[in-house]
Amino acid sequence: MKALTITAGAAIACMIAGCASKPPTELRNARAAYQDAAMSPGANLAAPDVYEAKKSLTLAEKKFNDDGDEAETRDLAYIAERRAIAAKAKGNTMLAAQQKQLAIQDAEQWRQQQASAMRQQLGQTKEQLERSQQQLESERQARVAAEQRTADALTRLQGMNARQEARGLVLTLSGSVLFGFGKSTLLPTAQKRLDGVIVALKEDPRSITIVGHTDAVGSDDANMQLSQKRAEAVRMYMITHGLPEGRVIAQGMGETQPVADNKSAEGRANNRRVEIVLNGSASGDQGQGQPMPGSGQQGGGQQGGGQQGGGTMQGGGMQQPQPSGGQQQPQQRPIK
Amino acid sequence: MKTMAWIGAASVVLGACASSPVPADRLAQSQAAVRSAQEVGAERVPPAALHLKVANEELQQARKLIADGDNKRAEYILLRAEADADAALNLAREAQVRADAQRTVEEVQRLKNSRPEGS
Repeated sequence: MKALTITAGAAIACMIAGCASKPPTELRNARAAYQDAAMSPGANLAAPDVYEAKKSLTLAEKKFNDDGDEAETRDLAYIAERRAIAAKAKGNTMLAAQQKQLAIQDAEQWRQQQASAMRQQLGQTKEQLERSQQQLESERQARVAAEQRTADALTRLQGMNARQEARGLVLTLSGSVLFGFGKSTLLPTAQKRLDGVIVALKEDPRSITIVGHTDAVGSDDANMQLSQKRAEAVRMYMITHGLPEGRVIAQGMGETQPVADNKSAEGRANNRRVEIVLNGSASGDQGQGQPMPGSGQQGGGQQGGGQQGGGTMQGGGMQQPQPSGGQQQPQQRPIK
Repeated sequence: MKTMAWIGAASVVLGACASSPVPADRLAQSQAAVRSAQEVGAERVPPAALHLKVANEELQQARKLIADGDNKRAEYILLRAEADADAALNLAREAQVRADAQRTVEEVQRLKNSRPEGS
């Protein structure tokens, strides 16, 4: 009985000693490694491996509790630590694979968005193009129609000589119809005639140049002034009777551009004239301002501000020197 | 007295044989684990390479223990070797898959940063 008591006491002492004995490094490492694995971001993805690592650690802990710090306890703890390390690595691997998959999906989604945005943009551009083409076409048709109306209106006017030239549609009015001899005041008959022209030109988008010409009687200087004044008088009448100010410019050419021989009375009468020029052709090149062969008519630095319509003023109408050098440059009143 | 000695020696030999046979399966399993780790290129990934090296050393140690007849101890060392090899394999895979994922993420980023053609 006494011996039994001693044995029991020794066993208790041993148990206490066992409990109190310091866990080996391997076991402490295994605990830390398991904690690390269980807390790692990929732990959920590698749950079975983490669970196995836990079982391995539990086994090592049990061995330590039962037998204390023995070689096998260290082995089991060592193995448990490696299992935890492997489980954590596996979780991280699965996490990285998942991230890669997400990146691929992201890229695919982005590509699709780009493609659809591009398609949409393409569609819009195409639509805009079609719209602007339709617009251009309808504008062109409107110009053609306006020109046709002008032409029709002009043909209805009596005593009007209209012809198409490179610089545009030229309407020639005889000087004797418009002005008294040496005067620049419009005659009443002229006003009537011009009223018809104004009505015919009102709807036309083209800009208008009024060009005054004289015969060769009198000095060049006086003729130049007279032609300028007459052109200006016609212009004034037109803009006070309904044509926009910016659409009409006046220009005097004096005797520099005869259309007939100045030696005969008939020829001189033909040379005394006022031309109404509808600049360019709206239906043709849409006012691209082709240089005109006779662009010398348009002397002086002209700043044709406020021109309307498609027709550029007398294309290339910048300071072309007059063919005959000694002659005075044609004058032109600046508009406004 | 001679007879007693014989019985003692026999019991030791029999006892050893009965409790710990040569752990041939365990040895094969550990060797396979080391090979797998080598196949995924664990030598080239620093933390994995360390575990692989240790696993190889443990395999050698276990072979020596088996030759010495200490099969019980050898079995534990083989378990260590397998655990090290397995850790090496998983660490190597982690490094590779992480690097691959990183490349993909960067590529996607570059793709998204580059302006699409014609805009």
